[in-house]
Amino acid sequence: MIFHEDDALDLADEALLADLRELAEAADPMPAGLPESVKFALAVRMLQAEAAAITHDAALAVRSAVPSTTASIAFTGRTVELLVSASDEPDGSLRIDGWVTPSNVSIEAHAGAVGPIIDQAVPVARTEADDLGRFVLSTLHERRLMFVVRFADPHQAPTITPVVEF
Amino acid sequence: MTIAVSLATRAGTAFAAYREGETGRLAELVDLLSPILWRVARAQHVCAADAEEIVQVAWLRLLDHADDIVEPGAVLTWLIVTVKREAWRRSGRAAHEVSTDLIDAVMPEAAPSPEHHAVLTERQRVLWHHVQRLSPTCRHLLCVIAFAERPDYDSVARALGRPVGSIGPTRGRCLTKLRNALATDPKWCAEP
Repeated sequence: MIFHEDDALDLADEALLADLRELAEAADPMPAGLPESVKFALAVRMLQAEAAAITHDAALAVRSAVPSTTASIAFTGRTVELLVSASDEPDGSLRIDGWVTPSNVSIEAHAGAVGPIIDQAVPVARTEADDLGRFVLSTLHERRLMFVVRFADPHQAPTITPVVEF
Repeated sequence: MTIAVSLATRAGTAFAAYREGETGRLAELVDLLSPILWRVARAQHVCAADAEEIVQVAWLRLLDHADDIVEPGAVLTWLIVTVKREAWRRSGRAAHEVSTDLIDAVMPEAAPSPEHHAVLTERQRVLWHHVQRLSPTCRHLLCVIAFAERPDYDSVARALGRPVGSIGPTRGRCLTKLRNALATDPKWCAEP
């Protein structure tokens, strides 16, 4: 059977395009993290924030060896360095012990999705760092988190980290 | 058969809400359109790493130009054109200088890497074989509209730069060529 050019798009075409889509997804997949990195870049721009990058991640190794133990991640931005260690509380919630420099900042933990950050949603936890830059965020029930570091001076750009999973 | 809701319509709804102050709807828009934008970038003969950057640049540009887009439903075609232009800009080609057919003729083809080829089913390999034998114009058009819904085909094809008068025939001709090639291949069965 030979198909002709003026055939209307029909079910066979739709099925063929669906096959093509699956083929393209298998042969040349979009990097899985692309939408998240786009959202992160948009959030940084929209909040006129600075982006912090993960510079050390001990979480993966720890996760694979012994689940439910301490995981440490370091982030470095242009003006901020942030180190967080996560541990499980007896009630199953998450506790974050952190250290940040400079120390005169507040730390917010947001449930791990950039959309709410863009919307300036209320963080799941917020605290101030002490004079030495230490802080604790406790009784967290989200395990995918991103952190926002804000300065006392509202004109100073906040720093936001990528989403990490503990 | 369910009627597919146009990708452009869904994108337009989220984009309109974003412009009216629901800023978080931008994240929904990113999830909705990144797969097709990735495909558009790859169809412009850029490597995967460049395609990622190009898609990201197009989204950042949308923030700067959000108010210039008169009709929210046009956000999909605006982004496709932006991805295409950014890809051309990076390759040192000016959009007005080079026809797509010329680009197709001089640029090397993106083929699946061996590790990805290994994950294809036998059926997908047969389809890939015939897709590779289409003209580059047809191959790229079909690979991009496969990521849209039927009501979007014409506007997507237009945004990809096909001459306005030839959109329907081009799309139809490309599909017809592929169907005919498959119909004469005994290794191809229409149903998986």
